[in-house]
Amino acid sequence: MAGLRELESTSKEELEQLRKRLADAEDILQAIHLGEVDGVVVEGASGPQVFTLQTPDQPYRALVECMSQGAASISERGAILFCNQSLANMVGRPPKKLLGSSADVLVRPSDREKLRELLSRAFEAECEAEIKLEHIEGRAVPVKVSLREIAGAQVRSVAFVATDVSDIRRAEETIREQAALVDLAHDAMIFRKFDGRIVFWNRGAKDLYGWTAEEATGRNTQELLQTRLPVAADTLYATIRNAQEWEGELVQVRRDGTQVTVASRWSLLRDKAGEPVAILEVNRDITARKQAEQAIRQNEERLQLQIERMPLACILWDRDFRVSSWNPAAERIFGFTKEQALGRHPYEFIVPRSAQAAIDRIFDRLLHGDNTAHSTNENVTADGRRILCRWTNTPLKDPEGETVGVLSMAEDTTELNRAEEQLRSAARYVRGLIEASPDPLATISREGKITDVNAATEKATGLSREMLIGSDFSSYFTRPDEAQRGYERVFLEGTVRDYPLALRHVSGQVTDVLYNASVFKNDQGAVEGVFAAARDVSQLKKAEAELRALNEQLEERVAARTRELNAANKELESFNYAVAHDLRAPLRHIHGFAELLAQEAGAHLNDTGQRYLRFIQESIDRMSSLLQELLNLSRIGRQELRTEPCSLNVLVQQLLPDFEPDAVHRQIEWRIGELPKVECDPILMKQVLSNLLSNAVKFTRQRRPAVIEVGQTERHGVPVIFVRDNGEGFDMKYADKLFGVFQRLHRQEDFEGTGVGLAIVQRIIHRHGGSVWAEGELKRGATFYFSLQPCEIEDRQEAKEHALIA
Amino acid sequence: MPLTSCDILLVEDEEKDIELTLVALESHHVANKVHVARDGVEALEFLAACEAKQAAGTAALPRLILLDLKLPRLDGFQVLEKIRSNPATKIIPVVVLTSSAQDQDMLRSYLNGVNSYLQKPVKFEQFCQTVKEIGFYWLLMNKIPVGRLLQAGDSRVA
Repeated sequence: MAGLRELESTSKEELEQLRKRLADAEDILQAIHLGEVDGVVVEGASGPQVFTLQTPDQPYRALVECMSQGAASISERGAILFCNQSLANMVGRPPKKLLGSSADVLVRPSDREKLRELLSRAFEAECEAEIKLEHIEGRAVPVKVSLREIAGAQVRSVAFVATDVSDIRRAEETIREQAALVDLAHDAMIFRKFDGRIVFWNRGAKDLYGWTAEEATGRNTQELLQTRLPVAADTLYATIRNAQEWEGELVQVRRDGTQVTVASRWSLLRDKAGEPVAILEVNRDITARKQAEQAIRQNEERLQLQIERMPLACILWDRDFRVSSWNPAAERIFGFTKEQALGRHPYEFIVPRSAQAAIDRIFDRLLHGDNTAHSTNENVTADGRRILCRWTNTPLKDPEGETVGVLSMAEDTTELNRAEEQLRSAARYVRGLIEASPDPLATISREGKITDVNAATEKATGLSREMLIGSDFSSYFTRPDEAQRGYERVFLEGTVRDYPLALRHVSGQVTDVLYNASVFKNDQGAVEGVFAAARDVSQLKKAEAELRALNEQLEERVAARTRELNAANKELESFNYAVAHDLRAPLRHIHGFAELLAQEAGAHLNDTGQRYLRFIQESIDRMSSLLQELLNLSRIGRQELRTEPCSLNVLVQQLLPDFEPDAVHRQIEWRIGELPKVECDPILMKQVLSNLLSNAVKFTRQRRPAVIEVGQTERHGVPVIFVRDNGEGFDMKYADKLFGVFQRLHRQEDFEGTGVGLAIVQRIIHRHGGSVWAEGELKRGATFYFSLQPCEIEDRQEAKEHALIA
Repeated sequence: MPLTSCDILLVEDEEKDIELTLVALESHHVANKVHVARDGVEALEFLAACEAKQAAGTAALPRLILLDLKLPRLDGFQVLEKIRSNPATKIIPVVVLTSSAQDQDMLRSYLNGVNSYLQKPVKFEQFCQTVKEIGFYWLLMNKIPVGRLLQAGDSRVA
C-alpha cells in the first residue's frame, strides 16, 4: 500500500514536471515567436552550446534542442537527416553518428517494419504509435512517436518526434504489478471518492462482500455495505481530515445479507489544492476473531462469575505467595475481606504456626511447578477459630515454564471431617459388631459370589477372607445345589428364614446351620445383594438329640413304671381275686355249717349255746358285708376313670327311686337344687351320690320330716356340691375320722354301716382331682361337700387314708 | 366207680362246699342223682364214660353240670372248653357256681359257652335258695333235647 502511494506521488510529480516542461517549452516558443529572445544556451553532451537566433530556422533548431522529446527528420528513403540531442540520448549515441544513418538503427529490430510503415504513412497523414527504440546498451526504450511530413522543406522528409514513455510504462507496469499484488492481497481494498463512490474494488473485497468489481464500482460504499460506524460519521470524517488516517472496526453487510465485522484502515488522498479527493479503505474480516473475542470475554465473565459465586475459596497468589485475588467464598470461610487479604502472606493471617512447616514444603513444590502439591491442614479464621481445610493448589506458569503464581481452591472440611470421623467411627462400630458376631455372616452378590465375610465365617470354613471373597457362596456347603436354591429364594421372596444347610470346613468337619438371609438395597432402592447369617445349630441339634434321647429314656422309664404299675395292679388283682374267692369260701362254709349245726343240734343246745351260734352267724354276715365293701373300694381305686359331661341332677333323679322303700314309713323331704353339669365318671359319681344320699337317709331316720338337701355352692371360686341333712349329725371334733376306712362315729347298733362308704366317696372324689369335706353338729345335722377341682379346704383324710386292699 | 345216670354233675374240689351243696340240693328235693367230680380230670373222665355208655344205648350223660372255676389240675375254664368241644357233651347246660364275681371270670366263662354264671352266696339261706332255684330252673323249667343226648356226632345237625 505504501508503494502505491509512492507511485501515485511519483506519477503525479512526473506529470507535474512534464506539464511544467511543456509549459516552459511553450513559453520559449512564444518568446522566440515574439522575437524577445536572441539566443539560447543548450546543455548538450559535449557541454553547453550557444545558438544565436538569427537564421530563420534558428529558433526552431533551438526549440528542437530544448525539447525533452527526441526529434528527428527522416528522409523518404529512411535516412536520418537531422536528430536532436534528446533523441541521441535516448538511443545512447551521439547525434553526429546518427546523421545519415538509417532510421532503423533507432528502433529495435522487432519494430523496424512498423517504423517503415509509419514513415510511409506519415507522408499522407500524421500518425502516432508506440514503438521501442533501441539503446546502444541493448535495452528497449518505449516511446510514443508521432510522424508528420515536414511541409516546405527542400528534401521530402518526415518529422519524427519521440516521447519517452518508459517511465510511464514502468509506472504502469508497476501499477499493474501492484494491482496484481493488490488482488492477491487477502484484505478488501476499496478505493473511493470522497463522496463515497467506489472507483476501485479488489478481489479481496469481492471475496469478503460478495459483490464483483463491476457490481461495486460506481456504487456508494455506505449504501452498498451498510457500514455501521463505531463513531458518528462527522467525527470520523473530521478525524480523517486531520490525521489523514483512521483505524477502527466496522460492521458491514455482505451481499447475502450476513453481517461481517472488519478491522478497517482509511487513508485520505488530497489533490494539489489540499482538498480530499479520495479515501482508500482497507478492511480485514475480523468476524471470526470478534466472535472468538466475544466468546473469550463471555467465558471470562462466566469464569469470573463462577469464581465469585463458588462455595470454594478461590485465591490467587503471586510468586511470593501474597494474595492477588480473593473471592467471596474465601471471605466467608476465613472471615477476612478482600481488602484485608490482598497482598498478605498466608502465614500472616490464615496459617497457624503449627501448620507452617508442612506448608513450607507445599510452597516449595509449587514453586517448582508441581501441580500435585495439595494439602489438608489447619487454618485460622479471623475470629480465631481453628478449621480444617482441604487445599487444591495449581501453579501458574509463564510460557517459559516458570511459576509465576498459584491458584488455590480451599474447602472448609471441618464439619465434613467431623462427619467423616463419625461415619468412620460408626462404620468401625458396625464392622466391630459384624466381626464380633459369633454367627458366620456374609454378603453375596447377585451372581452368587461372596462379597464380604466376617471372622466367624473364616473360622467356620477354615478359609481366609481373601480366599472366600469372589468365590461361589454355594461351594462351601455339603449340598451346594440346595444352598443355591435357598439363595435364589431370597431374591424371589426378599427373605428366607431358618433354611437348613450344612457348612463344610476345609478339614472336612461339617457344621449344621440354619441360614437366615435377606436382600439388601442401595440408596436407589435397587437390590445389591444378599446378607446371610448362619446360625450354628449343631449345639441345638445336639441338644435336640439329647432331648430326644432323654424323652425316649423318660418314655422308657414311664413305660417301665407303667409296666411295674400294671404288674403291681395285676398282683393286686390276683390278690383281690384270691381274697374275694378264698375268703368267701371259708366264710360260706362257716355260715353254712353253723346253720346246719343249728338245725342238727340246735335242739340240744341251751340258750347260751344258741346265742353263741347266733353270734357266729351274725359275725359272718358282718364279715361278708365288709368284704364286699372292701372289694368295691379297691375296685374303685384301680379302675380307669372314664369321664364325660354329666348332669348331676340327672344322676340324682336316677338314684331317688332307690330310696323309696326307705321312705315308705317316713316322710322324706327332698330339696334338690340346680346342680352343675360336670366332667366326671358317671358310674363312680353315681356311687358318690348314692353313698351320700344313703347316709343322709340313714341318719335322718329319726327325724320327722327328714330334710335332705342337695345343692350347689362355691368355695374360693370353685364350684362345690353339697348334701345336707337334718339328721343325727356328728361331733366336729371327730371330723378327721369320717372318711377313714372302717372308721365310724356311731355305734353299730344305732346306725349300721361298714364304715367304708365315705372312704369310697373320698377315693372317687380324689380320683377326679377334687376335694371332699364335711361339717356337722351333733343332733342338728351334717353337710357333706365335694368339688371336682382342688379346693383350698384342707383335706386331712388324704393323709390318713389307708387301704387294706388298695 | 359204678357209672349210673345222674341229673347233675357237680364239679367241686372243696369238701365243705360239696357237703353244703348236697345238703342244699337235698333239702329242696331238687335232684335225685348227683355225681361229684373233685377235679376237672375226674369230671372229664366221668363224662367220657357216660358218653360211652350213651353210645351203647344207655342214657348216662348228666342233664346239668355245676362247675366251680377254681379247681386243681385242670381249672374250670379248661373243663368247660373240653365239654363244649366234645359234640357229645356240647349241649349239656353248664352253670358256673363260684365264689368269684370277677368280671374277667364271668366274661371268660361266657366266651367259653357257659349257660349261666352264679356267685355262691356266703349266707347259708341264700346259698340254699340259689341252689334250689338253679335246680328248679335248669332241671325243671329249662328244656333240653334228651333224645339227642343219646347220639354222638349230632353236632352238625342244623
